Amino acid sequence: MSREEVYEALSEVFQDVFDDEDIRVSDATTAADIEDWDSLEHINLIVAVEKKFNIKFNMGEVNTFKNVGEMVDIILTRM
Amino acid sequence: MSTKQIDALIKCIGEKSLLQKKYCENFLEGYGDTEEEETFDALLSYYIQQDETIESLAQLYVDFINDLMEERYFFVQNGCYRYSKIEEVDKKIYQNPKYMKMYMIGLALSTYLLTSHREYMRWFKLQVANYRTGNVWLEVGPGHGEYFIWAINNTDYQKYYGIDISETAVKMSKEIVSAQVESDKQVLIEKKDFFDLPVDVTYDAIVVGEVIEHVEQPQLFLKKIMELSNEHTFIYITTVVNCPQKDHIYLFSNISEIEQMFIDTGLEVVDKLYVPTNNYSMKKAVKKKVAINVAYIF
Repeated sequence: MSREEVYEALSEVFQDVFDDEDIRVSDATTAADIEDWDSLEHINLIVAVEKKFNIKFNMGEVNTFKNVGEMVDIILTRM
Repeated sequence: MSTKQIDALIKCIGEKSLLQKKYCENFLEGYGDTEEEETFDALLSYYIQQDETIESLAQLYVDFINDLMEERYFFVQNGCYRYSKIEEVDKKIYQNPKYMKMYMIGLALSTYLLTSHREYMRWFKLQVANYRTGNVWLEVGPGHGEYFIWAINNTDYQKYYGIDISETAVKMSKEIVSAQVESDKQVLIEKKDFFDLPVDVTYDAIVVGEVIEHVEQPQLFLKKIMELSNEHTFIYITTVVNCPQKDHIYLFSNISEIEQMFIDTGLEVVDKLYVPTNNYSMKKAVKKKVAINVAYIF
């Protein structure tokens, strides 16, 4: 899967978790860009991303992602 | 409004956690109570006198929140709390001084930093206004001491008695209470199992804040509360629905389950407060199965 394809799939996950069809994520996207993205939704997001890509994050990663770009970097290495 | 210490703490938390930065930036919008600000600032000053720094406090708080997130992850995956037996959590948590320090300080700071915990405290103070005097005030699990200290400084009971099953928690409670209590009122905090309290003694106030989700059989706990109270006792109980935390072992999945337990025990609710976490609406909190804090007066 290319990085672009990951972003396409990831945007769908974000749209589903935050119930907003207009969400499109990129490398620089952070929680500051999505109003409802709080610590609780972060966990829902992580679980949904793991399911979508059939991967597992460790808790250290979960708690320290600086932006979606870092998440995608890990997704690509785990796939 | 805030003080330099509070500002510095919030800034430091935000530097350590982007998610908390977002939450904390909105934090001060709900803040405007001078007494709360002074009490929060006094708490920070106490910890700094105990050789903590703003940076170490911020780290402890972020560790506390990350610990909650780890348990939330388990909960979302499995639909249950990680542990269900007291013996599972006793060694890992209550007899673990390093974990207890993070836990107690994290909880103490959350009294002011988490909106749901702030609402609890405000409601508690309002309710206590009607029960300012009595013989013995009992608090089960005073922990970080914020409720116990407030009660001692703002009510007029003959004696204030706090019990906890954790040696570390008792030690921390004793230290913070002796540092922050303004008067020479009679105060005793000791390691004791609530179930070992003799039932030939009743109390005029029984405060059980965030305890019944930590026991295997909350209904037995409630029954004991009844045995220790008289017709005038101020009983204050708080607990929480769908709130994974390392030492939460009894899962209340909804509010009805909790209130049915009260009915079954014979406890009559006089007043109550529901506070979904993170300022969620009740509808959203139920749909997302996130924590709903509940407080009751009987």
